Amino acid sequence: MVKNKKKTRACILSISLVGIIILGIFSNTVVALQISANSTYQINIAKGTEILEVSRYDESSWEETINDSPESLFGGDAEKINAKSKYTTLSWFDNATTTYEGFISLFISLEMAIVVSTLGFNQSVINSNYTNKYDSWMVYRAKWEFNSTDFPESANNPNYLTPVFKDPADYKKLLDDYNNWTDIINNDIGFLAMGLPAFQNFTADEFLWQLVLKGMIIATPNNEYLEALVDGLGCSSKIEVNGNELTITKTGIKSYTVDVIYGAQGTQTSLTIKDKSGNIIYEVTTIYPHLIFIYIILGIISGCLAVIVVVKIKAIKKRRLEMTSVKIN
Amino acid sequence: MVSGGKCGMSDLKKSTKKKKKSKLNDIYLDVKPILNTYIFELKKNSKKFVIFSIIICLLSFLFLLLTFIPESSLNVTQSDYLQDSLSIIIMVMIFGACFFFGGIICSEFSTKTGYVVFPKINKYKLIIGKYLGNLTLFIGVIGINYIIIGLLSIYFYGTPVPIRFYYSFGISILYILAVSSFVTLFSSFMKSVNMTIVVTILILLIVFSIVDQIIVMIMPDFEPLYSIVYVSNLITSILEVDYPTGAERYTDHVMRGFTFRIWHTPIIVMGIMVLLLYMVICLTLAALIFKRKQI
Repeated sequence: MVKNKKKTRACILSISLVGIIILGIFSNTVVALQISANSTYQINIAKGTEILEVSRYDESSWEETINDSPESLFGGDAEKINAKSKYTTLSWFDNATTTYEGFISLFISLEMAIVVSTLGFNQSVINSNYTNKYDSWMVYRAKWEFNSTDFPESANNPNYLTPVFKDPADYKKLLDDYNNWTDIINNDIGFLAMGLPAFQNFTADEFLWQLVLKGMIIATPNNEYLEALVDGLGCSSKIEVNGNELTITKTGIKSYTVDVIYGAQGTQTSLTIKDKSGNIIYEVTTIYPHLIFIYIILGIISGCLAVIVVVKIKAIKKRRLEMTSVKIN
Repeated sequence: MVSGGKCGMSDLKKSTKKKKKSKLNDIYLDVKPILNTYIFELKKNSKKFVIFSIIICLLSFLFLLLTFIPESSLNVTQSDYLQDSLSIIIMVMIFGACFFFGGIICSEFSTKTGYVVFPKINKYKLIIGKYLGNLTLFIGVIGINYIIIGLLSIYFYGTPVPIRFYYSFGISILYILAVSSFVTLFSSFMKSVNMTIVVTILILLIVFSIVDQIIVMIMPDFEPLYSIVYVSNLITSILEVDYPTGAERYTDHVMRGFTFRIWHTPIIVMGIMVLLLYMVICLTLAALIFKRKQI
């Protein structure tokens, strides 16, 4: 009796432990620790990898419609069908993003920042002139550019930073500060003497497009955040938000639309470029390896259950045979 | 004559078949005690298997919990993640080997069952059966750890799992063979199971590390290939994309004119050879000591 109780307790303990492990493994959404309680939005991103694949590319339609090439817009081998790009989300944390950090993350490359710092436009100068600080989640990711072959072991950018502003209206403030700064630096004698191309001013629409190209992450609820972002930036009627879908109407050689759908994690699940007639010219879809893992786990569990059932059935049959032979004897 | 010849041929065939059958039968009878002991050990030590499997699952779960904290950074590449995840496995292997193999030989003498068993069963067959049974269970425990780590790497990074992961599992099996042989050697001359476990854990965890440090301080150029602890680094270092060669395999620290050299990993071939040598030498010595042990 005592032995049975001990066995039962050990059984319950083992099952609870296994249950906790499985729960931990299946959990793929984590609520971020919040320092600021004022944010009405939550970041819903999870650690792991997402793979972006070029699923459709109509080269002739593209050349007739869009000014730029896919590789100039999306980088790497983006002009090849089945080319893949990869983001691995490593960590994120609450951050008070300075103006300089915002410029580096969203507008100018680190290399250019180093060049202009020699002209006196360094981190401390920019931050002292533009004193805004933006409550944000700073997301660290590793990025692999579009590649038509297997991914290299090392990421093209192992420290890819993406700030996600807690207040979508902050994007407008940063944009205004940046446009103000570009007016100053583009007229700086030292910068002009370098012969480098001028820093581009962005309209609200162009800035939003840049955010999309840089792999923007949005907070949840997706639709509210997107609407607040578009309204806050003061985008034109060419930008529409429909639930978790962002539609951007652009003009190259001809008019075309870009539909970007954001998933539960706040990252892009698909990007589709269509011509005026609605025909798809270019499409990038996102694959989540989490799903492969879930299928493997389900397969293992099903296999184990099948084995247990078969063993039980055999044991029952054997017992019945033994009982029958005992009765006959 | 012809019919007599035909009968002779069929008789020859029959006798050849009979000889083959009896040979196979002899082999089966020879192997049967090992098989029976093997199955018995599997059943007897199933609790140890379950306990170690639970420990492995708990450790993996704790590691996973740490990974899910937002501020705790995930490794950039899959190889780095696998290396970090496998860093604790060496400790588990040392403890596991000591617990599984500590009583292989000495338990027969400490509990005096050898007096009953050995006159009836070939003692070597018994020990081989016990060794193989425990080896199977322990490789199973490590296999579970590798499966969990492999699945988690698929969850975070997708497929495929790098082939070097399988190489690492192969090296782990070799390491288990080497460490288990080492513990079996101690089991052959020590009197009690508990003493064997304690002594082998101390030697593997502490003594080897101290001896390595002393020798490296005296002779920095001397690579401590004799050390099974140093060779265990091969399990994680084989996961590196560019396996370190030459001067990359060690780091020199100069302090007040004195050079401290830290060796990171052996050459793959040398590491495998050392592990195989450990296995062969320890098992041979264990067999010799066991042979001379008086009941």
